[in-house]
Amino acid sequence: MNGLNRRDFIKRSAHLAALAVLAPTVPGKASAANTSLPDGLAWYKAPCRFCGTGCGVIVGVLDGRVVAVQGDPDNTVNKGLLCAKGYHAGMALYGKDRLTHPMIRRNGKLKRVSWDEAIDHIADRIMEDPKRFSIYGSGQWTIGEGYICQKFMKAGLGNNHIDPNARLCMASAAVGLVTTFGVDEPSGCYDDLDECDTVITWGNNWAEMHPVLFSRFMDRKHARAKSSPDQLTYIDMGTRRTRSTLAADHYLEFVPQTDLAIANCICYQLLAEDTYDKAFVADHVRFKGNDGSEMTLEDYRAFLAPYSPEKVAALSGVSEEQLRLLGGIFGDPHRKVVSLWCMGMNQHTRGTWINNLVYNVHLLSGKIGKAGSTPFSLTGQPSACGTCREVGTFAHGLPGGRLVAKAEHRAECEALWNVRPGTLNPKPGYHTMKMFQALNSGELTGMWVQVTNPGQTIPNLNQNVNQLRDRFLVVSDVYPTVTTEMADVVLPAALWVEKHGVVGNSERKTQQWFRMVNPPGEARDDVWQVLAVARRMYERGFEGMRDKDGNFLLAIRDEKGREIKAWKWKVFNKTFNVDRALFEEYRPFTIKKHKDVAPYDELVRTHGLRWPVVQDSRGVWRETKRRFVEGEDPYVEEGKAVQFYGAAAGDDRAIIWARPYEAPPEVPDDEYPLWLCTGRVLEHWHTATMTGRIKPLHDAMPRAYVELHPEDAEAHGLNEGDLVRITSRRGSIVLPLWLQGRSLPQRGLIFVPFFDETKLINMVTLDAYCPMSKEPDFKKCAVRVESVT
Amino acid sequence: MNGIIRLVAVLLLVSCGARAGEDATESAPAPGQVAAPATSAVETVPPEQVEADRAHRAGLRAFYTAPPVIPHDTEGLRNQDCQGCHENNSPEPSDQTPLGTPHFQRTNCLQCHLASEPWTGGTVTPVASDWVGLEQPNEGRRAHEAAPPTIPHRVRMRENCSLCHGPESLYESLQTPHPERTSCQQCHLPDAASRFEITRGDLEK
Repeated sequence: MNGLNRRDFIKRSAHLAALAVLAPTVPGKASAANTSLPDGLAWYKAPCRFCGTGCGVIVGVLDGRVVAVQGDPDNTVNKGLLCAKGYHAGMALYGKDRLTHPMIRRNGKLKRVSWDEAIDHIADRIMEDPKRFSIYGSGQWTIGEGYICQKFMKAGLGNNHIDPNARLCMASAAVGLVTTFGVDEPSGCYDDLDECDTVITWGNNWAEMHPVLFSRFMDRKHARAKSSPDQLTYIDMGTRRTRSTLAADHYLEFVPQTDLAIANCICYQLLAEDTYDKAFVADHVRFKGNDGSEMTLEDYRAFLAPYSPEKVAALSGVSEEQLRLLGGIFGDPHRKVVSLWCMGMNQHTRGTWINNLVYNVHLLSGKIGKAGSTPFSLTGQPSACGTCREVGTFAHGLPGGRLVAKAEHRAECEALWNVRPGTLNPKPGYHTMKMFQALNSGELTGMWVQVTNPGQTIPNLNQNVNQLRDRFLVVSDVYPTVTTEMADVVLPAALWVEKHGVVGNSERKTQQWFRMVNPPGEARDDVWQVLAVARRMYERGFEGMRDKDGNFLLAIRDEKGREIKAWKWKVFNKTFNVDRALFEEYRPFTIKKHKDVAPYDELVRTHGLRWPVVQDSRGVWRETKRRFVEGEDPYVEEGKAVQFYGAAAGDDRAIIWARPYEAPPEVPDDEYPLWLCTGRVLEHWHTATMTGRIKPLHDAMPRAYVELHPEDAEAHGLNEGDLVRITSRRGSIVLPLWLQGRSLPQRGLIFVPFFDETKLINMVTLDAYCPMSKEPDFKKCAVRVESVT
Repeated sequence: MNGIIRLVAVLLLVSCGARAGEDATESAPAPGQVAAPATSAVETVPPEQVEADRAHRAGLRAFYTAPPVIPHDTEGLRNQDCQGCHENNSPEPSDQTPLGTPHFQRTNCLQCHLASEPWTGGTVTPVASDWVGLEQPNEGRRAHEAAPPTIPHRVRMRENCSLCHGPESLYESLQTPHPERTSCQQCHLPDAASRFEITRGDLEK
């Protein structure tokens, strides 16, 4: 041992003790010689449990337990790479406080009960008042889970009060796509990141929230020699400097809400400089006023008059030079540009408008429907697309892009579900915010929450969930949460690879996995829980749970059409793949709007397929990388090049909407002088129910914090680590100040992550929402800060 | 403080068994036989250091295929700072350049490598977990006494062998006795056990 090594050794050993050893194996065992992986170790494919990127993982299973996770090199999304959450996803299963048996609240306390008792109780309570019951679900629902809840509510209870947490997350993106293109979900795909020369992020910290995609582009960018003439460009637009900004060539910092004006300013320049794509506009685009009236190009030009670089610079704080940089990039016919966004644009009181406006920019410049050029809306949750948007588990939706308000759509679903005509209720149910308000007022009397945690995530918690304890609340989850604390019934759920599942990611890719380990204790699949309650209601003669022939509405059938007693746990768990049956039952719904998902068995065979998946002349199932593009999308007619076939008017044209800038509903003033922006961090997923139980993630990011610009901190007499009270008109919480943190907010703005269940920032946030998408704005409200140290 | 560090080091050594030492024991060659070449540093460094090195490496990962956490203070560090010290081809090893990265083309380091110490304003409450992670195979197999050992771990994202097995390795017990040879996989093949064949994965089938 030479001197250097000895010194290192001592240093390392001391540090190791400080680490408290991450690998919780038997002491000494980890260091013993070990020449091979254990016998019986098997590796299975799955999509990652966490975000909407949809990375492929390979899960190592030994003796009935998950023991390792690695990236799937054969998955086109991540090509073997993961982020820290994905690598450690398997550890989410093993927190010591997993919920392992059903509980019912009696005399204020949750008491252990049998499954029979819990199912009886829920069935009784729903049958008492079926029209005033509701389901609040999730973008983390698998497709089977969302589908069965959808059918249970809309066909079974004749009740449309079902909405997912994707309302808080993706609703603006969905309404943006539907209003512009007539049909939901992005046309481009992740491959465009491999072919573009410019990426622009609109209020999106993808280095932390979609790190695998960030690396996909950034590693490519860094690999170019500095001397190469073909440099890749990354432009970050935001209200705070983030880890993404550090990698950007240009950072455009704008005053919150002025993204609306910036997008219009790009279009202003395209017309003023005459650099718009005239052929593309002539062939594929039409113009509409904000009220839906038809517009000419000249009308649109007049609408854009207030959005010159001079005027928008004054409003947005972005320099004229930087605004002209954007105009120049979109005006350059040779540039291949990908725009990316996620919550920054969606959680916005004009979320639908800003989505429309970014489509305007790409349509006017013709930067869409080409390899390497596309506007691309990233999703936050693993199946916000696959389940919420495709299965249509919104209060207004039906499977396959259908709407409850359309008689034709209802009739199609009634036929596929074999229920009597008129079973489906034509009136949309309550969207998320209205649902919680209706529970508060008593208009709704009960709710079943699955795979989400509204007690922590609904904005303005004091106002919106304060009565939840007094209503009949059923919560299916895997760990105790803020929401289970309020529940009357808590049902222990199977988590991720403890059940079969299918999910759909941001780029229309549907991915399947099989159960690999058994759920702990008495925990059972969410799908089974709904089936069991429905069956109990059927047995008790509840009419809605019968189809028009008198059979059980949610009957699960094998390939020969024989009914399987899937409501019996043993049958469900051991003898039949209910997930496959549900997916195949759902699949015919997807064809109408050309969202054809692949057959289940193709998904088993592959590492995910992007829809529309259509059989070619040789019988091979082909995925579609880019929608609306001839040669890629089988639904585009020959010779059309690009065909926006979803257009509501039937003219194959996308719509450029004249959406104006509008001031936000609450802006800083003398009493509340700062903006509050909330969001996520790399280490934690959603409310950290899972990631908070993963030691390496928790240790790296144990608690929430507040970030201020150093000059604002100084002006308030605040120092690193000080406890700071943050107060809005709605509530207040105390957080430690992190000045050396990972983001640098602009002057006048503070940032707080929402993952921490002990620091509920949603006590403070505003519940104003986009009037079109009904998605609340978690990124902007007015607060004041003061030291409590 | 020094006493504490020494105590920790001693405890670590005591807590580790001595099995690798037994494996390293060699019997004298019979007349006419050639002694097996010393192809592994495991056989030339003291067994207690082999143990300590293994324990240290295992302590940085939650399980075999997990990326290691960052074993030093990260306050204020950004992605852009990492390769300042962990560059692929650091000219001189020193306290400031402890180890290169075997995948320098990846630039979002903090995507996978987590801080092991929280920022100053945070308090870490313990995580109660029943997790037991897969151990990394840490010693190659030989088909016979004179055969080169296999590579016991996966090679993806660790294609640059010399970073861990070269003369500048942080771990003395990993250093190759023949650093002049640079085509490692000419003789050392990935062990079959480190491959990952995906099972179809259906509990009931």
